[in-house]
Amino acid sequence: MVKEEIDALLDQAKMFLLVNNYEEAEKILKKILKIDKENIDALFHLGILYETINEHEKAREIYLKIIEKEPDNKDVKERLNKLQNEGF
Amino acid sequence: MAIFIIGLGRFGNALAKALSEKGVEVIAIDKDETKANEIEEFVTKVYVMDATNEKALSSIGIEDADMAVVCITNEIEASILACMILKEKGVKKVIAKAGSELHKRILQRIGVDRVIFPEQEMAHRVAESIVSPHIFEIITLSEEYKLLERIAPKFMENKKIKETKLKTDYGVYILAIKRNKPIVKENGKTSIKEELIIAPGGEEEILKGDLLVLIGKKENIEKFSNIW
Repeated sequence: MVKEEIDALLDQAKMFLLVNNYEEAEKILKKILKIDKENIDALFHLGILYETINEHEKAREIYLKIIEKEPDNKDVKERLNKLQNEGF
Repeated sequence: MAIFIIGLGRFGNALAKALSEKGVEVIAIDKDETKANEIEEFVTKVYVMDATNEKALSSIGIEDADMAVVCITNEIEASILACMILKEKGVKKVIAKAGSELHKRILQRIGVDRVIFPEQEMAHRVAESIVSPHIFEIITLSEEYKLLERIAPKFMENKKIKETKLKTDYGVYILAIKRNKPIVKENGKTSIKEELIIAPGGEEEILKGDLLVLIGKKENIEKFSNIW
């Protein structure tokens, strides 16, 4: 699959996320990660999805995966701090 | 209202700072000068003294205290003596931290108004959160009623509240919904905004992951908290 196709899928997933269709968003994000398991954007949005539905452990695991590859990722650090402050 | 914090170990230190942050007048006491110095800038007053010394406590006006919290757990004798002196001096409310089950029982026996055993209490909460991760909090409101904060069970997802028949079938009522909403910030990045829906109507749809704040009779709340 080419980059443009993956980007299009990502946009779809984000759209589903924003309209609270978490099942569809999760399906598409996992599909992207099957093709490109290092896709940071897809990983980040999967983390956001899990955080949204209060699956904090899963969200944390995803965010830590991203930090391994991008230790200076500010957005992910912000999310991890939030989880920590809330005791998760 | 001035609160005396006696014992400035990890717990006493954290408690003194937390109370001060909330604007409470805190008078801190410890026989260790280093600990006293560490807290000085955060509290109203700090005294370096032995809390088992009756005369010393009287000299700082302990009799007028509304509340004292004894945070001594490494020396049980000192903790017990300090509590007894505070009760005898007429301190209106004495709270004490216990370091063991035996310590807790002794403090209760000598009339301490409230005994805290944070390690035990926290262990119960952690156990609960491991076994029932969908439950965030259960609060006893009265002998009959409890408040429950939990993630919406599966059967409620994507249904309107009126379709869930919560009142008729389960005897519980939704007071509020805490919802995480994915949003796009001005910089184009995705983030999460927290929404609170107070007294939601029957037309409100429950989303996956919604945190429900419910009220009901004890037995109904307990039954409902076990539903996945």
